Amino acid sequence: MERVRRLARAALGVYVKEMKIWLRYPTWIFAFIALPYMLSGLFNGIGYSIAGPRAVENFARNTGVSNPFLFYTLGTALLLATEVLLQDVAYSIRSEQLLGTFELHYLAPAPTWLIWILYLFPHSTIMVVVLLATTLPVLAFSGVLSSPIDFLYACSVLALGMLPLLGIALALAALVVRYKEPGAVVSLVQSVVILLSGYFYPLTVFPAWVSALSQVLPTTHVISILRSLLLAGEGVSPLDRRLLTLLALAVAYPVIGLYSYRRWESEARRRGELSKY
Amino acid sequence: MEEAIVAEGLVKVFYTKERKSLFRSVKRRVEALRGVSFSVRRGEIFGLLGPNGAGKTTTIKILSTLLLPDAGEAWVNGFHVVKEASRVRECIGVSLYSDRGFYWKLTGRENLRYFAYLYQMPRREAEKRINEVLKLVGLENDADRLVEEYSTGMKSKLNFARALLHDPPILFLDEPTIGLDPASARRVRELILEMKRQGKTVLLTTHNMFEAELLCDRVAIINRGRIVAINTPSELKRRVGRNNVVEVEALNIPPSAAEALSSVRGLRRIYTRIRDPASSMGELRLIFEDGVDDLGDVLSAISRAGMKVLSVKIVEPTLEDVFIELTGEKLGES
Repeated sequence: MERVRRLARAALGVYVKEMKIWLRYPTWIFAFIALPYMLSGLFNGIGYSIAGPRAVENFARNTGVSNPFLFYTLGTALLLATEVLLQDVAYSIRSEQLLGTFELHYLAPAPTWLIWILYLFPHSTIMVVVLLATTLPVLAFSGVLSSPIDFLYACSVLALGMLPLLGIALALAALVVRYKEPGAVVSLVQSVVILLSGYFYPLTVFPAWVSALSQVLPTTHVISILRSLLLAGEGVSPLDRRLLTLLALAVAYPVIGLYSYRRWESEARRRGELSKY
Repeated sequence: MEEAIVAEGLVKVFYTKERKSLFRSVKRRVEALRGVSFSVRRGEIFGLLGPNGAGKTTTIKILSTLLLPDAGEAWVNGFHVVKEASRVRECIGVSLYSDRGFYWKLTGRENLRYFAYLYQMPRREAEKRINEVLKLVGLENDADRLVEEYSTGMKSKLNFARALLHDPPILFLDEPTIGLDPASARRVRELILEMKRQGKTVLLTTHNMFEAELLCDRVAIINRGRIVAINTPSELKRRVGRNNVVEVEALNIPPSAAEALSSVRGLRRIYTRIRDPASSMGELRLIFEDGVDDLGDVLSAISRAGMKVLSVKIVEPTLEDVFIELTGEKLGES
């Protein structure tokens, strides 16, 4: 119990510190507010310019959703959440390396991998608050939020979908500890996730082998389940194949991520890499 | 356990890459530590004195669990630095950089608060301790300013405060006064002595012989990854011998000064320190085997070499003389 209390103190420290730093650079909040609508407008514009007046009709036929604005707003909100989660640990570590504070965390008794994961919470809090504030009105206005139970179910699916992303984030963080350069790999992984998750189109537009490949991404299942629940008004059984796959990924990816991080961390202690930046 | 720190046969090898061209690099093996052994008694200030690259920081990083040794073992406060790393971390305070390692967008107090929480201190205890250490280092009036507004000296004091935050019995200080102005350096030295008065054990690294003499109860002279001597500063200086060192201040000191004076009787070693390259003005430091027989002989040899003598003094040996005596190198050379 005392151990948990001590870890809670470390968690509080990370939370308060990151909140303060983020709120002293407040401009990104406006980006979170604006981006879902901006991107949604962008895709609608592209759709109309390609398909002309029949764009909405084609869209409904291909996606099963009649409101493209809603479809893209939800897709962009999820995309933002995913991207922040994927890059946050890696970029936080990079920032600590440059400040000279990274190595200092290894002088404290708290386990460092846990500290880096804790960095996600303050960022996620702000992101979730902003995204809910911006997308909930649209969802409510569109009549999507008719069932609060479905909405809570959707939130639980979202939370479950974040766990495998944590695992990927830790694996990316391991690369930063080793190579001190998050940009290239993080961008590459983010591009694959954006391309194969189906944020902005149904994955049926791709050949079968691409759709099969996309099944290893947790985001593919999250977006598919959320669309069923919120946009198509379909129920999703707890034994749904997508939900079970997501559950398996939520166990496997954090284990792989933690193993990779701890392995590179130990290697960094052996090679004297902790102090390099 | 009488000893606060014990190191036995520490070995550390690094592999670095030397870039020869865009695509070609050569791996180089650097032996940072070659069997370093020493122990530090409780309550003493122990100095690791050596030039840059001697292995001082590597030793501190192994002892503070940041680096794994390739061979050898070490214990801090009775805990093994590899097998009981988290127990070691609980009882050490470490100051590694004088002006890095802070969150610039947080105040000094907020920085300390964050590290207090990382050390898992209860909130009330943390606040009390933060106020104590801020007062101790003299930052209480600047505690609520952002660190980006701090001077180098203030950051150094904050760094020191952070090392003391959880009131550890053992402190590791890596070059604690490097880059500081004389007044700030003096304040940091006073703080180190205050820590000793409080009963803490301090292991500090320095290449500043004056600092080592002033602060340390015992000094280990380290060079090229090996400890070449350990003793009290006065015992170490006794190796060179009283009345064996002559300091000559002169003009026009040629690069071949040592060669020109090699014929002086009883001269064991000579080294020069140029202060003004334009006039080649500086000091010649002559170490004799067994006292100075004839200063006239020395002065004539200096004149013959074209130098103009400004002053001559028989001086007490310094730790730098000891270092040169033991290694044949100047502190800044390795």
